[in-house]
Amino acid sequence: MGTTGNDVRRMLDLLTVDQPAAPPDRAASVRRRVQRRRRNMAAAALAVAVGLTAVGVGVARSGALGGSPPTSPGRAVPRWALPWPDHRNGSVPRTVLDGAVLAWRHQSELTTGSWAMTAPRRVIWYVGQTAAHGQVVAVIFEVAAPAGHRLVAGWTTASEVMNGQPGWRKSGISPWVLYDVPAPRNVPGLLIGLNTHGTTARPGQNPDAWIVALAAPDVGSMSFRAPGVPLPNKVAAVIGIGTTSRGLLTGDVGQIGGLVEIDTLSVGHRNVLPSPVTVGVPGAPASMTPQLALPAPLRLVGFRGEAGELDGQGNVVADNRPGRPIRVIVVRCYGPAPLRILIGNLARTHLAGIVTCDNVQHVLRYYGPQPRHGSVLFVRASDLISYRVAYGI
Amino acid sequence: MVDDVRVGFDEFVAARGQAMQRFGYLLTADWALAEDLTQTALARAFPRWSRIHADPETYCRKIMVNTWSSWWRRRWRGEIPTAALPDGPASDLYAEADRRHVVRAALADLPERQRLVLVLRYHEDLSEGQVANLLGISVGTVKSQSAKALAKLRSNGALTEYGMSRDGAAQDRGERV
Repeated sequence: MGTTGNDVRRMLDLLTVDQPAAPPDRAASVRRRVQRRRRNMAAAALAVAVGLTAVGVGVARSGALGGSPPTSPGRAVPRWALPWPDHRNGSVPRTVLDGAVLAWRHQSELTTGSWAMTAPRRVIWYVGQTAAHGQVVAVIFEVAAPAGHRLVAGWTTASEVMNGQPGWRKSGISPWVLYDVPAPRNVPGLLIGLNTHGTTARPGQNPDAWIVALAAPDVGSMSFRAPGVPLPNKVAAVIGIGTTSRGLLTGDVGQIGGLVEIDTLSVGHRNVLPSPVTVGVPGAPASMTPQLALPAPLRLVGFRGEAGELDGQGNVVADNRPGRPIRVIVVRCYGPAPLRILIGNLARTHLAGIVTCDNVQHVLRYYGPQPRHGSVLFVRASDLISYRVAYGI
Repeated sequence: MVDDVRVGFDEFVAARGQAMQRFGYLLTADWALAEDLTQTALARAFPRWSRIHADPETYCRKIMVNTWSSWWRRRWRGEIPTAALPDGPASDLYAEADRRHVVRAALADLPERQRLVLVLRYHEDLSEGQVANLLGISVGTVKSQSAKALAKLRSNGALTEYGMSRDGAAQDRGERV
């Protein structure tokens, strides 16, 4: 037996020893297949041309009768769906969009308890495109399934899905962040929003937060307001106005420290928004929290042995039991308030330190009491604080 | 001109069709699917034959990889895992088939990307750079995927008796094919 490489070669050769004989007309069969495909494509092109002509006539007639024109040429949506255009612009392959639907099915299966209940009978797409200079992929679609008519909106980092990765792994892990609510009624001022963030940043900054906001196609512009991070020499808020593309706006809201609000939805000179709304998916409060990029990685110095690590936004608990005590905690965070680290067990905790969230690495040393067989580490932080924490001895 | 293209295409299919089908089989583990994959790749390559005739095999291989990736993404949803394999014990007369079954199962157990890297690297004998170029990934990823695939095969106890040595890691590091 030779090396491992040769073992593998031998194994692969072994697998193909029962290869069947070549079909006698393989080349001719391929050529026939190409001809069939050309005929089908020609027929499809003809059908599309006929269809577009029919739609053109329909638009002209509806205008003459005073009715509202179709929102998207050639697009017919069922009654339960929003009569809004399809904003997929080809920047995201169909397979990636299918992956998002698949991820939604698996996610919904966990709540409905049934795979069959999530089988989509029809999917109506509104958004499926890259945003934040191609760094993220945003999706908004409605789906008819036995579980009901649902609106699904979500996003993921482009690098996690655009290189052939699946939308859902058998291990139950998905790169998609999806929010799922009952399909909303098409009321004036309806806004479907997503909070997301870029993945690259200007020097000395964190990646900017971005919003994706979808409204009715007659909304020509939106104005938004985002509280800034309260640091010296930083603006207190970002206020902007963006022109939509048939109701869709993607916008960079910069370094933020609060919820992003839409102030106005302008149709002509009229504001159709009764009152300001927080950017998010209507009925999904979790979607309204800005998604913040993680701070820069920690420099793990001063630890004896391996350090545990966690990151995120908001409160979190790291159970270090059974394990060694926690003596050193390294934190880097940014946001509008300080972050607190507590150590103990689920019954009793001790404050290990309060960290200013200034995007600088802080080291805490904890000499207080802790359980004999390892501690639980609590991070107490608002949802608007993004942090990385490492802990060990 | 058209006849030249047709002749060149027919000659290529006659010469390399079976090799393409073998490559397809190592991706799909199914001879019928492999033939379908081969013909799909050839059908996509044929309209461009006059442009790719200098190196049609690389082009076809790339189409096969991309097509299989898209099939895999579409079809894996219907996958129904089973704890027990339907086969019963086979007599010694079928030792070869039994051996193939073990190898096939081990290969099928690898994640799709790792299997692709392994087949391209060790069956198609492409260099790490060529594999990286074909799959659109970095050479580092090819190395890591290849190492993970080999490690997984090494940890498969059923393969040990067929020559996949557990201590092959050190040998492999020294091999650098």
